[in-house]
Amino acid sequence: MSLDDLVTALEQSHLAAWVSSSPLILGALSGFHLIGFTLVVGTALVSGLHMMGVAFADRPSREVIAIAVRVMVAGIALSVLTGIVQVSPRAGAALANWIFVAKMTLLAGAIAAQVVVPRFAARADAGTVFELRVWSVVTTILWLAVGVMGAAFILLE
Amino acid sequence: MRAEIGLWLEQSAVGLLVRESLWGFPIVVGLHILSLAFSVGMFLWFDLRLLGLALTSVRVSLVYRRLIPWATVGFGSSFITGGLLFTGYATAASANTAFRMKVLMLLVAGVNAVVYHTVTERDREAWDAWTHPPRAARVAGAISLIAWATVILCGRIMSYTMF
Repeated sequence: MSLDDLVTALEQSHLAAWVSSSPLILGALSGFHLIGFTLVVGTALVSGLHMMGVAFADRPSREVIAIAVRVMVAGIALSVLTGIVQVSPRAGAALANWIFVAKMTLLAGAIAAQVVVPRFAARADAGTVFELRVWSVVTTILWLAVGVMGAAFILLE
Repeated sequence: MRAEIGLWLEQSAVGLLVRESLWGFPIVVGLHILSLAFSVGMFLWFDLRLLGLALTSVRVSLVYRRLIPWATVGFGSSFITGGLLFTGYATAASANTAFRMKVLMLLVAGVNAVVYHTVTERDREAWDAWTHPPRAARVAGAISLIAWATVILCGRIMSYTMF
């Protein structure tokens, strides 16, 4: 089954029809999508502030990052699920939209950067700090960029 | 009277800019959404501390001091951009159920914060370092989470149901 077949199947599914049936459903999906993003951004900011030495610098990074990872995974899962459902009626148009593709690319980059951060956290507790701070800034910027592209997609689509 | 005020706002220079400018509306809405995610995302972590679910080895007062200033900056930005948006669409917004619910939940969040600071926090020194704060503090954290989640939800629903 090709990507085009998958996209067509999604657009013609009962799920897509249900999503399109009411602006209230679309609005609620968008709301939960934004809640998921809020979980991610808030967590990225808090863990970033920690790694930059601004917040809870006296706490072991492992302690801060452990819970941050759980909250972030929950936020990403909620965002991805609601994002797929939201875009189902117009999946083909979304994939042809450069803003959407840019958002997905930035999302992949942000998740990859976030996975690497805990490895730095372990090293930070052993004393390596500068790289961690730079990486935290990069990760936070990537998540905010995802948000900017997400807002641009819904407003300029 | 309310309709007249709404029309006056919409016909103002700011209202016209928000509503009729090619980039005015997308920029203001984009900033509003990002500011909200920024501020609520930070409030979330303080609420998780109040609930005894995160940063439990850090004193509640320290979590507050480190995170709430950042959250306040985000909230300020949300408030300003939200005011600008309302100026452009005052009539439609005030008639929208989701908008009314959003404003109600903002009030709930505000009253909850006032009660926490004036009543619950009076004896904070006694429980500041507790892993699980007392029930009143936990309730405040739960109400805050629910109120802010509802603000976000209603904000998006009103975008799809206002016109």
